[in-house]
Amino acid sequence: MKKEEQKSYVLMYAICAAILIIVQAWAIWNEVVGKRPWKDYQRKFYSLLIDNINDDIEEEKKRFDGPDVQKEYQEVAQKLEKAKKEFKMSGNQNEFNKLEEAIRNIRSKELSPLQLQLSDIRNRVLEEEYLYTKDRTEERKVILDKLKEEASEALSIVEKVKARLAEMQERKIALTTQIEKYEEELKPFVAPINKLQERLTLLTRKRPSLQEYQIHIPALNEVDRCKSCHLGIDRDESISDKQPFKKHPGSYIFLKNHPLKDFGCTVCHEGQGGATTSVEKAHGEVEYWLHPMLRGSLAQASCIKCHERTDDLPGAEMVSMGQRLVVERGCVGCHDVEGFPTVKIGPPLTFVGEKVSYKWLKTWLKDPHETYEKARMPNFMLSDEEIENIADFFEGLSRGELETMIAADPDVDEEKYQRGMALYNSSRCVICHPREGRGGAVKYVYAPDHTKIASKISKDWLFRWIKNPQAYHPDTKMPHFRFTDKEAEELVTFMSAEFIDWDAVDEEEEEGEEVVKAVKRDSDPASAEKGRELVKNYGCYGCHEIKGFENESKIGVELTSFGSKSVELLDFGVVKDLERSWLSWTMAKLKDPRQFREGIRMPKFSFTDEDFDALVCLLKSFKERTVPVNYFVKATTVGYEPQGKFGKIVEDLNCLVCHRIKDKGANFAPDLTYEGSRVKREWLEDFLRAPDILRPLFQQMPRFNLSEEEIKIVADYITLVLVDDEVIAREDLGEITSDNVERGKKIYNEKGCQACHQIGIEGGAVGPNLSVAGDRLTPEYIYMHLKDPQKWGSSNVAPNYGLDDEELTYLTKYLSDLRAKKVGFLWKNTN
Amino acid sequence: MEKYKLIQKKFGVIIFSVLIVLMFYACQPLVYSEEDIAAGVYVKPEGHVFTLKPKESFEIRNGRIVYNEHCAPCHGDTGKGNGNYYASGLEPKPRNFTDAEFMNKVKDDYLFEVIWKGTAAFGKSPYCPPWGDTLKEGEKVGNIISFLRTLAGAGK
Repeated sequence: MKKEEQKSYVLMYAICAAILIIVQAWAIWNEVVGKRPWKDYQRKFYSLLIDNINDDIEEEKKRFDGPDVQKEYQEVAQKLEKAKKEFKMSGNQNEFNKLEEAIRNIRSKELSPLQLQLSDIRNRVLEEEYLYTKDRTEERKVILDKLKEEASEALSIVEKVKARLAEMQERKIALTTQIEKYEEELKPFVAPINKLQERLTLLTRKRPSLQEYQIHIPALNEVDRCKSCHLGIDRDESISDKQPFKKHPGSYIFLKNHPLKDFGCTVCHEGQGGATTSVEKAHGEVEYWLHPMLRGSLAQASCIKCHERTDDLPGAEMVSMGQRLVVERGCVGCHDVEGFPTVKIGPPLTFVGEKVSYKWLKTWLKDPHETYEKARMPNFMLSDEEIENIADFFEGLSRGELETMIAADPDVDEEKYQRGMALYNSSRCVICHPREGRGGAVKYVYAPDHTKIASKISKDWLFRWIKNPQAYHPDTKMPHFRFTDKEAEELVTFMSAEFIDWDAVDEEEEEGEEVVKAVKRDSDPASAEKGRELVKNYGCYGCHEIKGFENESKIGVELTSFGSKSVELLDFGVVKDLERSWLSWTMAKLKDPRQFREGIRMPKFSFTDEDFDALVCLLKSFKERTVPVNYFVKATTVGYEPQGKFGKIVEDLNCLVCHRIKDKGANFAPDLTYEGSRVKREWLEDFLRAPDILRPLFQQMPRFNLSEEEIKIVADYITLVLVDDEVIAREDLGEITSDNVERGKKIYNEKGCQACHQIGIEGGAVGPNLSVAGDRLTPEYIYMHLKDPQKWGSSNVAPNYGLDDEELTYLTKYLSDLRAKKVGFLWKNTN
Repeated sequence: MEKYKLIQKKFGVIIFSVLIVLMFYACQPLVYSEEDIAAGVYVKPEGHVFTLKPKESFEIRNGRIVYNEHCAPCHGDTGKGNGNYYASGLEPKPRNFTDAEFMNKVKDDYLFEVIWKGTAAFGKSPYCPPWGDTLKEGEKVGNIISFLRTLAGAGK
């Protein structure tokens, strides 16, 4: 063994040093490259930008080389050439040179010595003036005057020389005007290319520095570095179709109203805004990061953080659809969600035994979508025994007050049938109630298909329902038509003969009348008791008013913070082959609620794919709001309720199912917020008496048979309350003369108004019929509507033509002149 | 005694290094990139995976919304030029956007100009109004065009 002094540690040191160097090199590499993948994206972005400019230059060159442009360019170029040649040939060149020489000579040899002399004299004058103020003698005054004279003389000489010079300059310029003109003309041909080239040199000469972009918004407590990779996100044009170079789509909705510097990215899209070391981390799509990025339309889930109302909010279509569905499809019947009203969407069932046939009830319970594909009620997947029990339970509740035979009856009085049909048509039942799948134009209103309705319901119930639907179902959307007993009977007659389910009639022959036609039968109490338990278990009372269940609570879990539930808290149960993610679970749950384990009570809904997406989007939005108050967007008008007698009529007729007043109601029919400023009172009263055909039949208001007193109440309220101060009487419109009516008509035809509006029988039916526009609308409203139809109009379809004042006036006059007697239109003035 | 201490020291070193190695593994992030999945390093759970990826780009979806609002009354939901409410007497008829031959011929710039300024500005019938003042945003019109481009392919 060697002594300590004889040992060599070179190798060890060498190895350690090598390791140290490698580690240092790695550390530097990692710091500069490894942890900064965005640098690569930025480099790629700039190279793409340069490529794009190069492409543009190529294109410009191609355009420039194109035969037409080339021809024009050559023409001008030739002219320039010719002018230059002429300039040389005609001796102009010599003259030009001579003039230039002369000008130079005069400047250097004449003008400058003279100017020197002049300034010398002026200085002397100043000196003398000073001395004169000190010593006021005659002698000095003479010298001063003389000097002043000399100065003015010298000035005049200089002026003369200058004038000569100017004249020579002019002559010089005149010689080259032609050339200069053509040179100017040539510029636009090459300007775009030059501009692009300039941008390119700017980009390539000084390479843009690679840097991290960070948006820090203390109010939202967020730091976003997304732009470090998504460099092109706020550009006007995408430089590439691929991420991360694309621009933000729909930026006129999103970025324009939510500037990056005030909102950042993660407030809407979530994810991990501060992360820059990898794509997955930045998007938050890693384990244990609770808010993975909301991609594409799923980002709409964030709209609700700030926006109180999302209907009519552009860009939030999906989430607003979800909000609607949650209420309309009865989700709130079983689940509590903060901010959503608890409404029972189904009809009251306490006396359903008096309404529908026993057989129909059982078929319906089996699978509602089998009976009617648009049924809102979900399929509870009940066994035959359960169905029997539930049906028995409801039969037991009936009072037996009504005649128990169903309405279907093909043998009716022909005359009554005809009158009923006329009434059915003029009441425009088909606007809401589809018939063989057609009709039912009012969006978001659920009305049963009439095709087989007579085989479902009892005759007496139908009569009572038609007389006053709200007596049976206070929350129904069906208006209370003021039918007389005779009219109601005629309608029942028509419907019982028209809407028969012929399959049921065949069955009737096979199985005997009792089964099919009977409405009420004696039920078995034991079975009914079981039915009662089932109704309680499945929470039927969430959507239906049922006697005896008034104080029950909702059966589903509360969903207020469902969107922030982490995956560990979701019950995957027996399902093993499902991706462990919130999105997958929620989608799977909605599509087949009971797949996870036995004993789940949630029924199966008939949603479309679009509905599923909308609901998932909404569910994602159910989380704590974390934005500061100044980010909230409150609804503009809240809490309008029609008051007094008018309010009663509005409720009775369910006007707000189609119309809208001050942001309350639907937009199927015209907005009535400023109806009083819009229409003339006489017309309004006539219209309420007997609605005239203004729009296509599917949109035309039905006749409600209002009494004169009611008409007066409605007309009073509309003309006094529903007005807008901005629509004021305009005297400056002047008299209506046949001359300016003609001019207005010409403009009407020139602008193609007839494509959408009808006058007489000509024209389209997108907008209302204008045959009696003068009787219907006030001139001031017509004027306002023509000026800005988006603001003053019942639909936002109408285009803004950007008409000038004169055109507006003439058109207003023409339209105001369209009155019943002039168009030869049969203006019915009934009663 | 001395020897025992040495063994103890060695043992400590071994345990320490094992711990270091274990810590290294523990620190490994659970991030799997697309490449990892492709190479089989990370296997995604099989079975149904639900995502909410829109089948269409935002441009086309938004274009459809704007189209349905302003264009469909005359040109029809499917773009065949047979909207519900087009006047029976409208001559010429609204343009059929499913006509691939026509749609291949026209350039985006031209469509943009026609929508923005109206047909009358191009010497055609005045029935299609200028939409510029109504739509206001060039991007909206661009979205309509993106949507129109899908019609010709779909409805042959």
